[in-house]
Amino acid sequence: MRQRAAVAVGGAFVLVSALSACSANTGGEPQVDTGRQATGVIATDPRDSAGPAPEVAGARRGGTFTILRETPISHLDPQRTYSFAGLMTVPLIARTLTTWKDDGEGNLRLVGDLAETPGRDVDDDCKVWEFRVRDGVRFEDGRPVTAREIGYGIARSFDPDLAGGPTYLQEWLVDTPQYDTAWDFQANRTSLPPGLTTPDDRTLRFEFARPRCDLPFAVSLPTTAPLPSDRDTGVDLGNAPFSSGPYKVTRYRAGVEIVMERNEHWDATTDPVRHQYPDRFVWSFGPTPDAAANRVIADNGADQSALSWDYVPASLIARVAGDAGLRARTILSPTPSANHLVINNARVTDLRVRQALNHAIDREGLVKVLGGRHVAVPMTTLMPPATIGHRTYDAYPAGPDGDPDKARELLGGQRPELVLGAADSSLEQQVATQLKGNLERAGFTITIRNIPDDAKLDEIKKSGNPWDLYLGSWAADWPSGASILPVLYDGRTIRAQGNSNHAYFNDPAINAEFDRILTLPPTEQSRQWAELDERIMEEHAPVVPLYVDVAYLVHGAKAGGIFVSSVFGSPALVDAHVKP
Amino acid sequence: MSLSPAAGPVPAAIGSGGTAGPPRDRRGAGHSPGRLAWLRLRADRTALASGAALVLFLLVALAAPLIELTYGIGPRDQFQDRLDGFGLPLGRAGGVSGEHFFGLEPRLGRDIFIRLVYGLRTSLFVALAAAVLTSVIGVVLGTLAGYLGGWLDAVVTWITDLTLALPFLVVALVLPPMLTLRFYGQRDTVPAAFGVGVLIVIFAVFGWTGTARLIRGQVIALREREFVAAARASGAGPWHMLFRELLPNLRAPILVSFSLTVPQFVTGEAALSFIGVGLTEETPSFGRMIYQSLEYLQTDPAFVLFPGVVIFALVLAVNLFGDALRDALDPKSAG
Amino acid sequence: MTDGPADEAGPLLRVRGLTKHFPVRGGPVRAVDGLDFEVRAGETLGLVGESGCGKSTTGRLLVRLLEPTGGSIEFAGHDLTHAGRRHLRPLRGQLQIIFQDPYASLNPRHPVGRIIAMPLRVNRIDPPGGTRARVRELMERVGLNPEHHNRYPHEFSGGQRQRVGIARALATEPRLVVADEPVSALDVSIQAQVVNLLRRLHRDLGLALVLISHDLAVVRHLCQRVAVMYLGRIVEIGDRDDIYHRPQHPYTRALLAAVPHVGQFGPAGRLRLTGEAPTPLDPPSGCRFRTRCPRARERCAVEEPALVRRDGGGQATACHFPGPDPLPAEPVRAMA
Repeated sequence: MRQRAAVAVGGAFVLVSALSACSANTGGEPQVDTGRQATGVIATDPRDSAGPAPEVAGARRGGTFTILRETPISHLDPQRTYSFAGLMTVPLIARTLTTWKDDGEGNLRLVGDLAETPGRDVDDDCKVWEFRVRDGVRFEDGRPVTAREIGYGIARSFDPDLAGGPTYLQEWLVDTPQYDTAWDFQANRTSLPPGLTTPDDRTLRFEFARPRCDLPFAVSLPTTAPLPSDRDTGVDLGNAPFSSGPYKVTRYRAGVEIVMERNEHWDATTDPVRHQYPDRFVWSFGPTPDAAANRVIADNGADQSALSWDYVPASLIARVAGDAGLRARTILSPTPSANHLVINNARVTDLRVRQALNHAIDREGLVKVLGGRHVAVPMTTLMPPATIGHRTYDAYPAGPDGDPDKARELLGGQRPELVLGAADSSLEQQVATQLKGNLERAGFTITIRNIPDDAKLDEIKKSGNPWDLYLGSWAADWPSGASILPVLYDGRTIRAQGNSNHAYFNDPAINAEFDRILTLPPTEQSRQWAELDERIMEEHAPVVPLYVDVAYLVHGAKAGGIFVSSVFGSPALVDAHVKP
Repeated sequence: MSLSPAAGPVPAAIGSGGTAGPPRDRRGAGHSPGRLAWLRLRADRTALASGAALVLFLLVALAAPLIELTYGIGPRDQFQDRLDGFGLPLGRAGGVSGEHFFGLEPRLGRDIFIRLVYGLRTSLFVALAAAVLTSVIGVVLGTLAGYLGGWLDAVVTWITDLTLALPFLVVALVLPPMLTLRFYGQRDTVPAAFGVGVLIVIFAVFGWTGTARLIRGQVIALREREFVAAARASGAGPWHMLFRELLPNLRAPILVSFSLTVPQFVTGEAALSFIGVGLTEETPSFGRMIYQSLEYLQTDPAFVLFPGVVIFALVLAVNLFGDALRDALDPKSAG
Repeated sequence: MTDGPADEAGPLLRVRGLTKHFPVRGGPVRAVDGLDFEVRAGETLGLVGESGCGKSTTGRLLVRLLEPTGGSIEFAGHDLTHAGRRHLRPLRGQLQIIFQDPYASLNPRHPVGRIIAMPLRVNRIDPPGGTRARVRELMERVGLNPEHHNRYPHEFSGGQRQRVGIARALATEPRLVVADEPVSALDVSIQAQVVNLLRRLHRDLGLALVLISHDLAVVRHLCQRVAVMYLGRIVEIGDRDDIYHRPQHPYTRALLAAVPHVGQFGPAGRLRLTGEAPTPLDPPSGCRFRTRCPRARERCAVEEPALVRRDGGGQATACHFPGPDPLPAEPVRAMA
């Protein structure tokens, strides 16, 4: 008994002395490139799409590049993959019709990959598109890739057994979300879905019932990865994909590791973005984000050429950021993942209340709750800055800390009682607590109601949900306003459940604008989306823009060429190399 | 059985005149076993120290609003201007200053000291209330089962087994949201007291079995003792049996099991909040603080230290006092 | 079966065919298997026998701590055999018990004053002069200092505690007290004091006493009549002097022989009990003592001997071949 007490007192003493030994925190602002804007365009000049990709400065061939991640990639079937890890890995083993030329700093250019250019809008109405397949691309067995294999890849994405991947092409081709009943792949293995034809071996032709001006973006997703029908192993393809890219899977141990080695049939001259620097890539699954980060920071042995896939966990951010020696081994970059305080417009119908919320918001405090600028940067627009054509504006300028007085003035003495639905995860609970304190200082009464974490997304996607406010985020599949604004704010799409428009915002004039801009040529759209973004915020304030996620990565001293994808916000592997 | 030598519950029979016994007052009144336990407790320095600590904790918990008044800071007040860009407190040792005795929480920037004071209040209230409820349920069911036996015993035993078979975490996870929805719909404000109440009920529902089993065993042992037979032979009814003959003899096991359940519930509340099942973010709670602080082991150790040391001290004090109490009530068990 | 007032002429306690079987695995334990005896008002009856013979069970049956399996118990004209708690209540005060273990029989959490007053309290009896005065009087009567009524049992010695137990039994002024081995747990030096106390109380208060004991010396000292039990049955019953000086049953003789300076008799004193008593789970057929009896004959295995009076006196024996003398060597078949 006494011994126990003595141990306790001793332990406490050691802790206290350890504590008093640490130095005072005097602050100091981390630097995040927040003013960055995407300047992306669709490269119409075939020379932009020509290979080979420019050499990466300092890169050399050889070595093993390791990627550490806690959760395994469930499979690498290109038609089925939709996770960020999968989307960033598939380019190593599969070519797609188009792809992004990305410098990791917002300079984006959509180029042809399997196609010679990012597509041709045949009648200038976005309804008929043709892609001319590049010559000289080969599968891992040396066979050439033709329009037929690309078409087969798209066709197999209709198979309900192979669900899980993006569904844009499928839905657009048959013009219904129930694409797998509209066209049965398993009964038509030898034919192509309606609207998709291969007039010759080097031409792929899409015909749509409605204008689909974003098609060049949509075919950058791995749905368009080619596959010879005789190599289709169905659900087993995920364990042994058939490569058309610079690497092929040579070992697949489910849940443990994936090893990819060079594909000698890949020809650098046909590829505008990829390289083939390391001898092999190894995905190693298991270590927690904490463990992985600590391993690459320690920088021993194989970990020297390793990347910790997950963002630096909050528990380590201050330590990693405070270590000047690690600066060269970290990457800090905003992502296109945008977070809003979504206002349920079906409930909060008073524009002044919505505007007052926008004036009241204290983004600076919120970012501190999230863990600082290495986790989030404030945002005042609907579309994230990484969107092509994005323009920064603040419709309700209130400074970084919010302007409670202006909010009160707008409320004119009333004290709206709003219910904030928050997931019961630890972080979101803290964010909700922050928002409650913030908004109550500005004259609102906020009730926090918890929603089970795993059910929250489904619940807020139900129209008629009982909450006035909730946190929502959106990461588009390509950085075009078309994949953001109409998806989130077109009131005509509202149905009983599964709504992406979880603000339940519906304005006929804005809906008409969506229709108008969607039929414009993609190159002209971006400026118009940016203008509409500002107009929606000024006229309707359907949400309170909060912040974009920030990617903060750490890697070993010999790992090079890693940048954060401007499209997905995850580490891109196409330039990866092992330094000598 | 009639030839067996006498074996009594009290280790030392005191001589005929009682001269060898502990000191007694002039009236010649004897020392009840309870009073003897109290005397033993008073002579135990560990008991005194842990008891004093417990009293201090209780006073702090009770006086929380008063402390808030003099301290000038509430448990929900935020001081984010005193956090750096990572949301970590500025200054030495997690922002410890004359204004913020234990510094500030990272992120939300709330004052750790006042949140600990209120956390203590929550924690002690939950633990004590749950322990009282647990003891009442356990004693009532254990006594009835042990004394009356028969089908009632079978039913209570069955309920005990059933309760033990219930998955605690699943119920703790599923029940609160269900009850909240049932009583407050989807939009009404849920008072913090409701969450606390539900937690207490969950603890009580799952916690009584140990006490009930202990008490049942004790009652069965006591039931066979001759003083119970003497009372029955005199025609005593069940009321007299339970409350005059049996319960006074159950005080020690009840107190001991109570003293064991209190720290169990203090850590239980912390553990539940730790896995995000317990109280809501707005209710100050040790468990939640410790859970949130663990992230900061490397970057803001002061945030780990203060709640950790306080809950450690609290649980240690309750446990040490419980040990001392057990020793005092039953000197045989003392090492 | 009369519910009316006690018939002063009849015995205070009448036991007929009293049986108690405990159900256990392997069949019932026949702890008490058909007892017949009577106790008159003011009379002392000793119940002796080896441990396990059922005498303690009998004591507990008499005060209805146990419910009989069969037979009947009649006390002061009331049938107690299967009476419920409510029915027993008015009689409880007149029928008390003293236990063997003075440690277990007192509630350690109560001061002795409250222990002694317990029977008054549960029967809601308010004695003249009040409960406190009654407790003082009782403590004085059993030889305890009344000033000690606030003390707790653990502050008393074994002998003193037994006095507390006796005082408790006397609180309601009972007419019959069952004393179950009242001194066997005490030091030998203390035993005599308690025995003398019981004797004095019997004399002063005129209570009837059923003394259950394995100690023949104690029984001889206290009891006017003695019943000898073996395996749940009475094998011999009679006045003290008859039993101690003229034992007819071989078992009684064996018991007496085992105790020096108690029974002086003739050649039969050489009788020795050998072996263990058979289990009451499966008692021997016929006479239960036959497996250890030097006189056992074929008849003993077949026919169970009845308890029969001899010489028209108060002494009754259950034996086919009773008598003080050793049997003739030749078995008397003709008698069968």
